[in-house]
Amino acid sequence: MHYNYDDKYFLSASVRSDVSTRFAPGIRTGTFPAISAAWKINNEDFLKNSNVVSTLKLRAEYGVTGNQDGIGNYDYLSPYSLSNTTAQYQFGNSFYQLYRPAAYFPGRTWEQTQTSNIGIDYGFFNDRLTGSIEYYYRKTKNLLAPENQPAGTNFGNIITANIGDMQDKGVELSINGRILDQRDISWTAGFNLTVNRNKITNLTSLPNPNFPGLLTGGISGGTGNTIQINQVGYPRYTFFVYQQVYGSNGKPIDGVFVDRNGDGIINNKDLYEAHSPDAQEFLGLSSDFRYKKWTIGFVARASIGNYVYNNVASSTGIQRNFLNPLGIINNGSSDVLVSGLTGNGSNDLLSDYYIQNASFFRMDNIHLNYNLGQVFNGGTLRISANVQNVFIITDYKGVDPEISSGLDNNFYPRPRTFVLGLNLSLK
Amino acid sequence: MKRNSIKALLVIGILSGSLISCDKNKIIAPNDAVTSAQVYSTPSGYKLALAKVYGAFALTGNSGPAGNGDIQGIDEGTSDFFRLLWYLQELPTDEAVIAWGDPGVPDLHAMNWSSSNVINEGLYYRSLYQITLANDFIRQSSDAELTSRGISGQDATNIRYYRAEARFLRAYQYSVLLDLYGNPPFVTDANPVGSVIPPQTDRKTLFNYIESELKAIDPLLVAPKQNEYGRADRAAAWALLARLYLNAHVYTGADRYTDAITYSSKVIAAGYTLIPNYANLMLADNNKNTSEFILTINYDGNKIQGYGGTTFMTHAPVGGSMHVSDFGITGGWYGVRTTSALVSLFPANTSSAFPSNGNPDSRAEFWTQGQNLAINDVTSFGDGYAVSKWRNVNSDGSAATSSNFSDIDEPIFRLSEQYLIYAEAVVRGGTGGDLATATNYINLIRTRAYGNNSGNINSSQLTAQFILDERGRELYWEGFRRTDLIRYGLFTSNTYVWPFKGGAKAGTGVADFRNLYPIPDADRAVNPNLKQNAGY
Repeated sequence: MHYNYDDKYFLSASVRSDVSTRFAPGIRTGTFPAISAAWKINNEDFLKNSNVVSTLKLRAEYGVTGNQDGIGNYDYLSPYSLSNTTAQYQFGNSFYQLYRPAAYFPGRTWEQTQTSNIGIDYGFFNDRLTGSIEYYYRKTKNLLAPENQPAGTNFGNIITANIGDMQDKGVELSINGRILDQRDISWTAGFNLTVNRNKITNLTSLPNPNFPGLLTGGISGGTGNTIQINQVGYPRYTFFVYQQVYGSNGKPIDGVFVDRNGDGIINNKDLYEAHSPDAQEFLGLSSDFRYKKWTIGFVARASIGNYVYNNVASSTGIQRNFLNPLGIINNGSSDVLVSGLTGNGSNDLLSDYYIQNASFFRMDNIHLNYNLGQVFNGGTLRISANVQNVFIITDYKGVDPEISSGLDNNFYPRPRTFVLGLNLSLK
Repeated sequence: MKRNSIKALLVIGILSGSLISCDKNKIIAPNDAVTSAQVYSTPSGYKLALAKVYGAFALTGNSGPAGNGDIQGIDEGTSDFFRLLWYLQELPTDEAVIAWGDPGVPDLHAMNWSSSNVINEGLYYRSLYQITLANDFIRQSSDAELTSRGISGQDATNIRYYRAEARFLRAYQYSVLLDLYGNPPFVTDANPVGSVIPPQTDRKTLFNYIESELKAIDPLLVAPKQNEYGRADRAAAWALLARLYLNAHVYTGADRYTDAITYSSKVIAAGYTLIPNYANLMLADNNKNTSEFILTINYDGNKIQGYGGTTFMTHAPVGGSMHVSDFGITGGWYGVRTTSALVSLFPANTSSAFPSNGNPDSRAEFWTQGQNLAINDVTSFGDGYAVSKWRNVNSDGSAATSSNFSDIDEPIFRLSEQYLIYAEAVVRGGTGGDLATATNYINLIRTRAYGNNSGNINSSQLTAQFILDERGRELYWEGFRRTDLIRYGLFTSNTYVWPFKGGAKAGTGVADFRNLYPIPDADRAVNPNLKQNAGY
């Protein structure tokens, strides 16, 4: 339903209902309302004839969306599935495939995300300067997340249930300007900023301060090591590591970690939540400048506060990789020359030494065009030079700091491409 | 100019767009899986379901060797029953050290594991998983269910045997939980899946339950040596009872040595004999060793694949200068070795002949070339002798079915242990047995080991300490050591130390609470009935 009064006041509302057969009968339906309101202030009398303000709109929205990804099609039943022929069992001289009942969760239903935001869209000087500023708050309820099952009650110890709550809040800001706008010369520039904070607020069906969290983020090196945790009170996929002790020369001391719980022994109770792989702030910057037939511009981006686990250094940048018990010479990361770590200690892989600040500024694109105009018979010719992935400024020691998972392992480097173009269009 | 026009666009009816029609049959009977009603509609379906109840301690998932794992939150290959049991029973003892830094693993020999140790968690969930499967099978195979499904006659008789075996497997896994965790959650077939949060049991109550359950199924199981290979019979129930009674003092505070003598004697009298050659115990074709093996976990290079069990036992101890062809594999895993404490139980070596180096006691199957007896660095494969007891080759020297996955079956009950239980129970004051018979049983074991009677002992030499050492020599790396050391009061104490016990090179005692493993944090977080074991 949309409602508009005098092109000043807007109200709209909708309701959506989805039914999914992935859930048990009776809890298949999810109802998702949305409502939004806006006030076009610039259409009010007191601003109507303003030379300064050309657009000013205050808006607020609230909506609910549903999610059913990440679960099996029949998990509300307990289907039996026959094992592969490589997973049989022997009775006498015969082999039998196994009928395995699957872990199931009949009460599972839609994950729901409530999003509220309030924002202002603005334009000044006949929209030469435009942009918006917005605050948002997103709360995810009935999060489809892995939940431990009390041992002995299900055919699996971890199932995907509607278990957690998670919140995201942040601010988005954008400014776009047409700084010069003449026949022979023009310049537009844009800037945007996003600040996001993510936090898991609940992961158990009953409040439990002793909840150990859910380990995730498998890494290379050893068998079954994980580097991340989903834990209440921390951002999702927070790194979960040992606190390295450093010597007076600034280098990590081999195999020495902080006994954080003070029980006199170093074991996995001393792991702590270190940093998040998600950026805290994103910035974007773009510019396009035209003078007669020439155009030059760039697009750049920055990411602040994202951390990466340097798995390449942790699994290959250790002396053990070079001087290993197998007597085989391996390639490895030169990080070993910096850290000097042997890798013999069992906890070295999980050292916070390898959690590295991966904030970066990346020049994504620089381009230069020359428009020759009409060359013959109405056809036009343009010559362009374009560089992608021009440069990056970062303190991160691995190949590339921009790894969304936060796990730097077997990452294929982004290419830098140079493109020279001739563009002929014919009528 | 003011306009009072109201533009209203009603967009109702969005509701109708999302109703995706569905094929009812597809929902009720998914074509890639079946429901319990279908599985249990035929006798052969019962057998495939029974195969899962057994297979849960041989396999890690439905794909083989890996993929679609049973237990989550742990590397699938590590989630294998025998591998986990081996880690928890052998690594904290004088019998084994490990080079790897895998999660939770190094803390075991150092004896500083925590209540969120993933290996500890893995065995706990694996045992309770097999119990949950057994409970389901027991519910599905009641006489009422058989009648309602029209199964009768010989089929029904067979399924009643299956049911008794499921009860045996449940009792066996509860005995593992009794020994390692003491006070686990307790569920039986009386609690349908998902119905209640399991209550916690205590060690004494659990001991009594297992004892009564094994006695109840004794007459329901197939007679000794009469069942199919790989399935439990009455002798398996007796063997487990004998093992429990030997350790009863630890579990309940009361001695039950007389009962240990009674039940080990029943097993021995059932007609088992030792195979002639100790070196053939753990070979690819050891399914022929039925004269000695009472119950095995079965593996096969092609059909029962995983990264635990005997595949682990043939790969993890191989590295350094060891010849992979001797082990029927393509590459070792450079992991586990033993300490000088186990090696020193044997006489000196006389040659470098494979596998026991000319040792008068042929059980000393250690690889010494390129290995240091003393351990300076637990993480270095070259420190500590390697063990070559498990070899994925046939007894005639021919190759096994696969060089990647082992054919070797793992005996969880074999005759030697029953001889040793009998002897120890007699020495500890049980009645109904005698010292001469006990000495004779020990000498049967030692005659096989020495190839003649040169290693035999007389009854005055048969002391409790001798039996502990003999258990080390005969049963090393078969998953008994932690239990044995606890029964002798030596597991945590300072009176007996071994290299890197408690994390110190010379070895040091640790706190007594480590005689029990902790209830995993992960389960305590969702089961409010569970109290943590003292000390954790």
